[in-house]
Amino acid sequence: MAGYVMLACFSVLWVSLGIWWGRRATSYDGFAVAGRNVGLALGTATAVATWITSNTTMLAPQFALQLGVWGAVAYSTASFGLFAFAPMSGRIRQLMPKGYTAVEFVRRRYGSMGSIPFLLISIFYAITWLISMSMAGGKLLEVLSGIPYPVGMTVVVVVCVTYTLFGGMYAVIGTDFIQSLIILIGLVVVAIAVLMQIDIADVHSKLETNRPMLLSVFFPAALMALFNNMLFGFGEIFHSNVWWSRAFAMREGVGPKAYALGGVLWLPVPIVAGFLGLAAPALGIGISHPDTVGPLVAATLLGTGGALLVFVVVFCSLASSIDSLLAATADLIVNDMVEPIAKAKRAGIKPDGHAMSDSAKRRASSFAIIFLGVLSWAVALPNVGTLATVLFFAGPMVGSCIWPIVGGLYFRRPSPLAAGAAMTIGTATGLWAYFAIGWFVASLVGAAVSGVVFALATWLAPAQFDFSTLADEAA
Amino acid sequence: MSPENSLDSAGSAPPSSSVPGPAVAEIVLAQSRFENVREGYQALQWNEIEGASRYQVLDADGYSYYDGTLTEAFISGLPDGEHTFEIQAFSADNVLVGVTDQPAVIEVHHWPMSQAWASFAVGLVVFLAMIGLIIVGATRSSTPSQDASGSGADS
Repeated sequence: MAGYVMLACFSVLWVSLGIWWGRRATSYDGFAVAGRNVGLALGTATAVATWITSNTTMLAPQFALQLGVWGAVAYSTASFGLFAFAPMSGRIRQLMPKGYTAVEFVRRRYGSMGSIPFLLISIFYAITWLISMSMAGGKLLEVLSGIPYPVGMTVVVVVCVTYTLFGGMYAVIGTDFIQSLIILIGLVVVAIAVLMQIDIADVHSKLETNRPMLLSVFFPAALMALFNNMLFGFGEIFHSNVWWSRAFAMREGVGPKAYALGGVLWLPVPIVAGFLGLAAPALGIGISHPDTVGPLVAATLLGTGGALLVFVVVFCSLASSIDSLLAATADLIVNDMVEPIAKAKRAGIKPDGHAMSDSAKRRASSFAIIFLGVLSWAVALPNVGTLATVLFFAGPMVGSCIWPIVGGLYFRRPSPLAAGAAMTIGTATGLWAYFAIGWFVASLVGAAVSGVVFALATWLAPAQFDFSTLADEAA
Repeated sequence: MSPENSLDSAGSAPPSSSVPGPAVAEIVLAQSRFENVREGYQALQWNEIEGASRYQVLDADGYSYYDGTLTEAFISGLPDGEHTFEIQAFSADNVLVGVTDQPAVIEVHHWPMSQAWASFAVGLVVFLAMIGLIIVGATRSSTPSQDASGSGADS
């Protein structure tokens, strides 16, 4: 019963706050990029809240349970992606003051040879992430409060779609601020409460006796996973419109500070969450599904109050990521799929004008958000467990985008051929490694091979891109 | 975990603490032998036993690796070697109602360290190269003359 009450309270809170914050989203610029005037506090909060996803609360403890201490460390390296993106966000804002999406940058920087594979990767990643988080929402609410999976999953999706629909990026960033505060305070309380109930020396002793590999410095799979996870995180942040849309939304000069601060605040979260995974075997808590180990340990150790606290943290982390994905992916659909098609159709009528009016883009965004919500709900409803693992296929794909993004942002010489070949060959070899060796090397292979291809192609056939062309509105 | 399922301080619940029931059913594993497990972790699945309220997975020394209500256990952190696990099912009043006839055998053979270090080294090189590229690009692109010309870092 308490679970339903909490779910209802937070649902009403997010929808109300989202509508209230979103009242300023009268234009498409306001709806998509919050008027490009987001300050440091809101910018930092949205970076932290968005990056603390259901994956952080589920996968970080799972990594620790599977790969030991190295697993928790490996997961925390995802914060390096925020640090690395910090200077890039400033460059993005400087190069494209009127930009909207990451795909828009790739299209204008590399043409269709780069933008087609990049768009496919972006859409695949965004939709699988959205579905996996919807599923995670249903599963976690069921584990923590007994709310049936279809009910919990449906409420999470409907609430996020509703307030994103009304408030766009204003609502997303506003709610992210509150959600990040709740998440961070909640995690600190959970961490302190758990540490008070656990004897770390005892945990260490039991693991050393019965599960020695979890403490081993020389755990081969864990060593292989370390940089793999870091590069997966880099790829996720560098390529995803979730992060680019925030770079466009932040005031000039804010992005680098906000992303760096966000990384500092995020860094300890997977370590704390990972410790729960390590503690489970020593505490004798039976684990059937490794992705639920973190919430299960917290709820078991802290009782009903602890379960409710974890429930709130999980609901906030889910909402803060799902809303960001809905908004950013809707931007991508409108700007990089709907508008180019509309423009091509109208080319004969308005050759130099915009294909879509401000209000038409606003309407299209609303339809896109509803479409994404319905799609993720429909696919998540059957609760087919293997679907969530599809997200891991995205590792080599996003890993292969790292070099074209970094090279394309800072250097003139990388060509469309270099970008297209790097993404295609990197993705193919990364996926091969996924099946031939394992998930823990797929992103690493994808990033390494795409880097070699990108460097070779740039050296053999350099281009001379003029960055000043990016400052104009989308052509 | 409910209090009655709690383990002792060593994390184990010796089978001898339980009283065998009149009819002990056979627990059948979905797969009983796992060869060449490279990561040291494995999930075990078995059939549901009528009247069972909890299941326990024990290694050859009687140490408990799982104590819970579901018919699936995730075991991790195993070193190289062959590891044998028996599964027992208990009723609500702690009577043994099911046991594996054929135990699960997990043969762990971790990836060679040479491969692990090679992956680590490749990852380190990619990481350092990328960070270096960002630093060089950011430093050069922040030069006022280059900003004014709208050119890139390698202009």
